[in-house]
Amino acid sequence: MSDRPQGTFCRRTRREALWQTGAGFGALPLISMLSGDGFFNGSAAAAEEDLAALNPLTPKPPHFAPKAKSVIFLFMYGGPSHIDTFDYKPDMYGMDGKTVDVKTFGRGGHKNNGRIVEPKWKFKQYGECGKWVSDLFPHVGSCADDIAFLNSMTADSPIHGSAMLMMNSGKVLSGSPALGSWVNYGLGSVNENMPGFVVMLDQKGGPISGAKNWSSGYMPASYQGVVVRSQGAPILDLAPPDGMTQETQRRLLDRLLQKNRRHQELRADNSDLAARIASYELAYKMQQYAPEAVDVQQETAQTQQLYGLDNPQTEDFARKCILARRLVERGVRFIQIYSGGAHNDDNWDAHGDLEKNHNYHAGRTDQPIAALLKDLKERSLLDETLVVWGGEFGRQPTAEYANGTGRDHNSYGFTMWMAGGGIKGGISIGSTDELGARAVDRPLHVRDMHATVLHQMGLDPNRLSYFFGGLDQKLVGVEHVDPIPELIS
Amino acid sequence: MTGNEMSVAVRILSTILAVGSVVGSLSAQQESAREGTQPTIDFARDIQPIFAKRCYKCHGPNEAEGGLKLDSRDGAFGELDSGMPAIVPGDLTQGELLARITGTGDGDRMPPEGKPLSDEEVAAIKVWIQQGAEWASHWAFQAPARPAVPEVSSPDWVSNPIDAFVLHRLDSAGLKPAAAADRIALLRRAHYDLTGLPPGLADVQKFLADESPQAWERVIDNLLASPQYGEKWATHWLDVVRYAETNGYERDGRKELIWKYRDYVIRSLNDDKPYDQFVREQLAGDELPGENPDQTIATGFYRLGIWDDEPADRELARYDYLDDLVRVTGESFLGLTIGCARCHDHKIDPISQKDYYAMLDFFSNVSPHGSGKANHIQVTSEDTKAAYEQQVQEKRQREQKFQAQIRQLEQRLFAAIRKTDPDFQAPETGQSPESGNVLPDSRKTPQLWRITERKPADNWLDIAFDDSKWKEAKGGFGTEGTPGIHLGTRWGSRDIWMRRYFGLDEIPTKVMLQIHHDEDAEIYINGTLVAEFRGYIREYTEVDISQNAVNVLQTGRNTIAIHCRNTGGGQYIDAGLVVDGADTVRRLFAEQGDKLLGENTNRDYVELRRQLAESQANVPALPVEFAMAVAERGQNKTWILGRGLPSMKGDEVQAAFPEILNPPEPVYDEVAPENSSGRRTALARWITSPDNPMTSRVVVNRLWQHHFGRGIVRSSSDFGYQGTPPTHPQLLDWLSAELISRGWSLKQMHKLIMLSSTYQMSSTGNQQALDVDPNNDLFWRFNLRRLTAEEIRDSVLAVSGMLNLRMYGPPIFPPLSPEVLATASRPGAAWGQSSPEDSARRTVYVHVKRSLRPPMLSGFDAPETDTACAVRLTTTVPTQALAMLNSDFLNQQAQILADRITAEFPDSVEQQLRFAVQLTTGRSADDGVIQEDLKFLKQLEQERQVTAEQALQIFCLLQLNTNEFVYLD
Repeated sequence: MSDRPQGTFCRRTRREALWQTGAGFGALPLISMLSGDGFFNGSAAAAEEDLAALNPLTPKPPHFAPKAKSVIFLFMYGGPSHIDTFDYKPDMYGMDGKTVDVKTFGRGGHKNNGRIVEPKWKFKQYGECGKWVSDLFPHVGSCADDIAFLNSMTADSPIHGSAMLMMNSGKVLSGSPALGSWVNYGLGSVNENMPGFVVMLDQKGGPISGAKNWSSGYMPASYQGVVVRSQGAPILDLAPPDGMTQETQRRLLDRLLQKNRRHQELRADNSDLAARIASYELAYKMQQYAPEAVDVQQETAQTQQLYGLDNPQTEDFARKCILARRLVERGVRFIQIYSGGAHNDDNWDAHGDLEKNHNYHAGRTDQPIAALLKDLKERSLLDETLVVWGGEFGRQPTAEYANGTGRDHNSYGFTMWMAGGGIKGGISIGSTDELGARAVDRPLHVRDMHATVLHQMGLDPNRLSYFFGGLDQKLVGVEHVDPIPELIS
Repeated sequence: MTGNEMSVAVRILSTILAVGSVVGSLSAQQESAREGTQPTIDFARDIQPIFAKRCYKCHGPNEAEGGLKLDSRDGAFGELDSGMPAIVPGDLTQGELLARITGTGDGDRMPPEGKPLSDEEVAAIKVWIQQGAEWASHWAFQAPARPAVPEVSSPDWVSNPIDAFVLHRLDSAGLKPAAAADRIALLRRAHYDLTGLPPGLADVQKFLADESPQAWERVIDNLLASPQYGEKWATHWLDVVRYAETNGYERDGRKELIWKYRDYVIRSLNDDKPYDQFVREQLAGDELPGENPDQTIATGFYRLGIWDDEPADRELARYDYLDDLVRVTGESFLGLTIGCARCHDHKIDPISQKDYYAMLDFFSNVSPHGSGKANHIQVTSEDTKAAYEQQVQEKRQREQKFQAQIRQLEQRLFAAIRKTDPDFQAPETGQSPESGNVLPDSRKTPQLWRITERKPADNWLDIAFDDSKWKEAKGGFGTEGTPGIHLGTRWGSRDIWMRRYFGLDEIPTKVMLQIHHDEDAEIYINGTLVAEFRGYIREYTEVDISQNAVNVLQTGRNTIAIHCRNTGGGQYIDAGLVVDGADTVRRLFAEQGDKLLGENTNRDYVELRRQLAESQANVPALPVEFAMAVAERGQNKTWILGRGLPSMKGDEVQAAFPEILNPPEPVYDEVAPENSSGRRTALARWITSPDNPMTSRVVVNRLWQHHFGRGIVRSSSDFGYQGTPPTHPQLLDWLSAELISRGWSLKQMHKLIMLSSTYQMSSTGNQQALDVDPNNDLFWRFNLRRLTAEEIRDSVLAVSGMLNLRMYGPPIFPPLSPEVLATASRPGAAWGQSSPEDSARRTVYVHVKRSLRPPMLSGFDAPETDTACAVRLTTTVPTQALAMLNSDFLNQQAQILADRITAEFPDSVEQQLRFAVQLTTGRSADDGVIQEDLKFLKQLEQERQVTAEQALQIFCLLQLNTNEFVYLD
């Protein structure tokens, strides 16, 4: 995919172009694009070859043997405070209220000093690795031996809008495809009945910039994330309108098929028409399949309890985590779950009362997240499922305002973690300074994390490219980026 | 090359064709087959793309490793550092290049990275060298010359020269053009291509009945004259310039009034505005002479892109903004991807970093974007202004007449009083501004104010506010060169706050504000807002603020506080107050008028005063309209930025055009436009020059693209080395010459294209042609196409009868489902609400919100608007089927269609079905099909317990889902 293909349309080979359209939502056997362009056709033999390559059961070949088959990205939107969760700063206890010189940059601008807000939770050591984790995440702490903590993450922007875009698409500028789009572009999807890139949003609403965060940017729309709801009809327009039974709809589709076939007779050489006919049958199958895929009631009571589905506090995120596991089992490539939505304290953006905010959001997610890791592990799925946890940035060690515990944004240093999918567990990489203000040892950039995700999925981050605007665009940018070697088991 | 090798080359070239690569190879192969000779290699078409893709990185415009530069003749044929030649024309045994790419020489195989060149590529290079290695520079960078119209096999088929060019290539390939399309297919094609809407039944009947030879031409003329033409073609243009009505990012703020740009595009197309003028207005309308509002609105072009109102790095964000302008200008008008050279010289296209920053310099003074009403510029039309001027003139004359009469009566009264009281001192009369000038403006004498240009505390406007820390400075305030000003102190930033005190002995009855202001001036007296202005003015004006001001004035010390804002152009603000004191003359008349002048005269006086006051109170208002547009601010320098980083400033550059195009120096007007550098005019002048090799080709190619489904150059915004070569280079050049000779009239070009036999061909395939040219590179048939997202939505509404053809104005908000709204961070505030009538207007008017695209549109490949889209992809995915089957919109419209056909034919289900088929396909249904449809209805009713009404709705839904409705032959 990275080698400059010789037969190109805008530098995309015909097959790539076909893949590009097909992969995001099940590689349609009869997908076609640029209809009317005459672009698809090729000779009959070539067309057959293309169609064979597009068999929905045959995913696109990765660049090399993958460690992971799916990614679950648990997006803690708003920016959780690293020094209150997974980045233990013992020396800060007792410093509360003290003014220190420290350079910070957040929504409040650049500052050279500030009043320390000491970590508001106690930390304990967990597992054989002895990782210090705060009381916000006791359940996740119990999985520490499966987790690799990236304690020295950095990003280019401490402002939500651009930072979200960076975490999701690698660029602070709008218009580039999301990580999930890249994965689907690179690998295709093995399940034609479900989207290959699924996004689940918080009950409070979408994150800032909404659909831009799962947009396919300059790639075809079929790579964009599809919002799946954990209750009701999971996919937009999946349910037939009131009064239309499945049998009635089948009748409609049969008659439609007759009409479309008659129309096609005189245009037999045009595969677009065949593709559209097939798309109706796939849609019909999706209607039967998708509701079952998201039906968490099929889980045992034990599993439901493990995730906290029986507890009103954790019920919502638990449902989404169970659903994520069910989708992984069904071959969905990339699943992103948002903890937090809308604005202010509806997400992790703790500018006011840090304790109240983080107790609320951690309380809703800790148990379900740990349950997801344990459940995946028990089902031998963790090895092939890469779980990523983090927000768009972390938070500052100092107070944002004269009073209170609120912390401003911090992109100079923060923590994310990864587990499963060939990631070495029980390790921590890099560190921030004694206040957690800035990554000092082994600073990692968002693109390092992205490169690692692609690598674990069997894609070379420096080869996976898409020609647009005169350039071979890459998720990780122009310059060579290696996956984080310490992470890879 | 041996004969055997040659036949291998021919076979390989045909393989290249099969994988859809070198488009022109077809002709090479076919020519060879026909003439029994070697295939002809076209350097620009067949060889240069290989060099560009595989070799330029090290041996191209920017690198010459080993002394080899494959981007120029000299660089390719010269001596290498090793002393060897790389290429010896006509000789396959010598030359380092062949040895290296085939891996047969002593040195490393080339290229060193990636796969070796394919057999096909090597074969093509061999044939080219053997045939003499003819070298021509890149086709697109040479000015087009009008080519001769070729001779063809079937002159009868040739309706105009377009057909000759197309048939000539078909002849070479031994192919015949497809038969003419049937009349209904043709009519649907024409209606959709020109208006984006299906023909009405009356249109079909009329065309079928019109047997005159001019029938087709009449259809074209009518469609080109219909207002829906502009709406359809505006969509194509809006894609290219990435039109959207919000800024993107966190708040995704509205671009207020930017919809006027969309209306401008529609209007310009409908008016058949010459394309060169269309380009000039968008790039530099503000700098053009005259004050036509459309010229200003057109420059909304500069405000369409994404903009982060809260960037992490402001300086970088400024360059991101300018970069976006360089990119969109290069791609949309010139078909050049200049943006790639931001960080370093373009690796493949011959665009250097210097070229990039020289282009950027044309835009370096473009004022920054801003939220809300920033970049709103007044666009009051000449007519409106003339009407206003006339009203002002009439008012002045009227009042002068009253004043003369009043003065005469006053003099009579004073004279009468003097008769009895020789010491009588006549009071001041008339409207002498000096008399009550409590706060002079700075016209005669500069006045001292306290000013600040940094945002003060919120209580800055209060009487008691301590402004002693503010700078004391002489008014007026502004920048040199702003028209009609009396400059005291320079104010060159965005905002100014100013305060002054003035004393009053008694409360006046009338307060006049004399002011010359920039945009958004707010005037406070004693802490209360008494006047507010939007938009700048060009001279001092007087405004009656008595109503607001009289109540807040106090005897003794008063405060006036002013905040003024400028977002573009020169700055200026100055103000003063004139008050009317107690009216002693009126008192004299009241006391002595009756007695001294008589009741009638006294009454006349009172009446004249009343009429004068009435006239004065009735100030004509200049209707102020705004548009989001461009303005320049400051005089910024441009440097080459290392790796695109503002911190790595290199050499300073001046505005210039890309060198590869052998451009002239920019030509500036001798007198720079007011408030602007004139650079963009120079840019527009070059882009629209008939000598520019790109502009006319790029636009005729876009026209061709949207008529035939693909451009003659498929990559229609990239004519560089990486673009696809034209399948019909001569046709492209001929069309380009034709456009210029027809005064850049797009409508004439549409007509020319549509009158060709090429356009009127059927889309039906035939096996022979499919075998030879499956991609239809040669246009042996018309390309079948799916309707666009907009066409699907508009057609559904048209068929149901709900389509509202009201044009222009602010965007509309068709309903979105709660699930879709829930994806926004403020679900409640994410989308507006339009009336059902407005919701049924054409899709071109639907609000374009970057973070929330209606799924009905994005699902059918309406592009993301963050970056320009020259070619829409057409995808076919099951979610489209779900939307067409299950969405509220489709089901509602199907119901409305069912109601429509029932109302039209209340007594016959068969007639209802026939009507629905006609509406959705333009065709009369076969009897057999209708019988089957009737059976389908009956089955639904009998087996599925569906009412007859429901069954009809389901039938209508089905009809809207058919391929025949959604695809065009």
